[in-house]
Amino acid sequence: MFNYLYFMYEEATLINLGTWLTMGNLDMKYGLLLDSLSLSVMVPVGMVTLCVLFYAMEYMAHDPNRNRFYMMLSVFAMFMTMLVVSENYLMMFMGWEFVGVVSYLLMSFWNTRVTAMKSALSAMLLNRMGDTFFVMCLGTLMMNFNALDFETMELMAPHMNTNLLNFMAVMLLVAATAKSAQLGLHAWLLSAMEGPTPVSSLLHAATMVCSGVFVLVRSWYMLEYTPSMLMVMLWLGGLTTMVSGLMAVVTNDMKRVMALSTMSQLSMMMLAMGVSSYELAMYHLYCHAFFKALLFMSAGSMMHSVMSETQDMRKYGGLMDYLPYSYTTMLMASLSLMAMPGLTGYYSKDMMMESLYGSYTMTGYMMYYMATTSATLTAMYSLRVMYLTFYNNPNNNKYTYGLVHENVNMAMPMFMLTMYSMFMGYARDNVTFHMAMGMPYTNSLMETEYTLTSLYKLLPLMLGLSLSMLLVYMYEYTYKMMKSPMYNYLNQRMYFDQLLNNLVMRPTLVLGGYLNHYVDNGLLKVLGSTGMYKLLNYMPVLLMFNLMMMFM
Amino acid sequence: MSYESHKRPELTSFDDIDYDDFSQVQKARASMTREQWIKTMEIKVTHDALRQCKRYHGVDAQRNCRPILLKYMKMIEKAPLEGYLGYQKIDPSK
Repeated sequence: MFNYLYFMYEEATLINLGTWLTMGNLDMKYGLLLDSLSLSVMVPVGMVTLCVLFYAMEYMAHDPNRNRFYMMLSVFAMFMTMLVVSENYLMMFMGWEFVGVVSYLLMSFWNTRVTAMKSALSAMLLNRMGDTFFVMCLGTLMMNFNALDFETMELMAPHMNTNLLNFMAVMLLVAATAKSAQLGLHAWLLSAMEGPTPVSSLLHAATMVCSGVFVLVRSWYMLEYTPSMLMVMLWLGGLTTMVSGLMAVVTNDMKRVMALSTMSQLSMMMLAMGVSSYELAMYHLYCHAFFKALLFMSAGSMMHSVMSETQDMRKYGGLMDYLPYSYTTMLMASLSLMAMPGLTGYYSKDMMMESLYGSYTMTGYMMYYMATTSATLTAMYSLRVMYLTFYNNPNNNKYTYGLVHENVNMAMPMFMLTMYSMFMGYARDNVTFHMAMGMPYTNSLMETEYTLTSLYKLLPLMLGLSLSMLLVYMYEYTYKMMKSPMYNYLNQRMYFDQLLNNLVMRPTLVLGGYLNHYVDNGLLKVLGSTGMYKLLNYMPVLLMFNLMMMFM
Repeated sequence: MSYESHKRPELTSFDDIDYDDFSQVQKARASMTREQWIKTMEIKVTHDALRQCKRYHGVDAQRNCRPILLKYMKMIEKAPLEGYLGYQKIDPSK
């Protein structure tokens, strides 16, 4: 029975459903690869989807278009499954594209809101940029490997040219950066919080954003032979996790804090991949899906019960007595996210950080300290959310508080996820310890168990607890309005949107304008249609003049 | 018809034909296309064998499937079907 609740090792199965198309010796098959990697991702995908659907039945009960919503959630689940269980890159890419499209549709579900439409468009466009790189990688694969299935790739990769592998790894990394919202292409995830909470919970926390990490883990055989790319991944992950943590501690939008936290956790996975601990990245993906979905659901439950449904944390406060159940679930999810010993998050996150140090490389040490800083910041912003919403003095009017209530129908799926957030850590060996799902096993986990001192293992926890306590103390006793430029800088998300607009978007648009004016409507017309038309038009006139000159 | 009794058509090369006789050109074209398709199918069969080998041997595949892998990599050096036009144009008599 437990097979359905958490993953237990089984032999890989390949189911061939038929051939899609044949081009010479290249066969594109519809195939399902049920190996330990895909099956262990299917557990959170299936379970979180189930819980979110139950949750959405209540959350969206009063929406006139709810049927469309449920249908799109189900379609999303179908394509996510396709992405995960596919046996070749092409089918995986189809899943990848379609989850992007469904994400756009779900984000813009309340399409009368301009912000929702804008954020959906932003997500769509940034993801398409990443997809372009994915397609380039697919083309390179077809040209050089003459196949698209993972088995052949895995066998051939060690024999290929490193420059070629580097090129393909860069393409995949950019694609994953866009999908998993890593630094540089992350703006869409923050604005995606305009969508309904079940969407944020399923797509932008548990499943879709993880697909970038999943694709990279699937391509481990490529990354293993491109060590420079692994280092790029380490730095990308390290910077993302730091920056997102710093932004999250000063953000006031509750869901946006959680989105930043998702970003931070995804980059933790990147860090684990960077030191070749793919199985730890997968295990964190597996655990993170449950507690992050729960975190969003608890936030949704809270917002749903408050009349204005605002996402601004400063408008809440003192809800602990009004919403004890949501409080409990959110506490469990937060503690799990903060990697509190005994809860799920501890077993996945702590291992990753340890193995960063246990890689015994300069970059590994640096990344350990960055990850520790990020874990400390995680504890701080998680506790800040709890403090501002549940512990603080009530900050809204009395009438609003009179209407606050728990919703029984939302409680059931939240209970399921709470159980996962608490006890999933004990199933670790079923996920990672079977030859590391067939991926390379670095042994750094065992290594650190016996070689590192307790200080390095407990440093994130100690720093997290002490600094978040300090934060609460500051809020309680020494609170004053923050006016420092640093606060504004981080609160405005480091002005990244503005930078992107001013440095990339606008110059690109201006260039596009010039190209349109001087090339499309200029040179190409002079040499093309207009030029030809004018030539043919004036040729007879010239001839006539010539003739006239002859007879004059 | 059994495999043993199957009679392979005689191969005609573009190098040996008279380009003015179109029936000979057609024969050479058919031969070349046929040979290329045989090669393609060989690659497909080898590819399938490689994948089966990988599935059977799992994490040991890199060692145990090495002969098939090297054979496959050698074969795909000339993988894409090229057709006959490129070769046909090089008339050795001219």
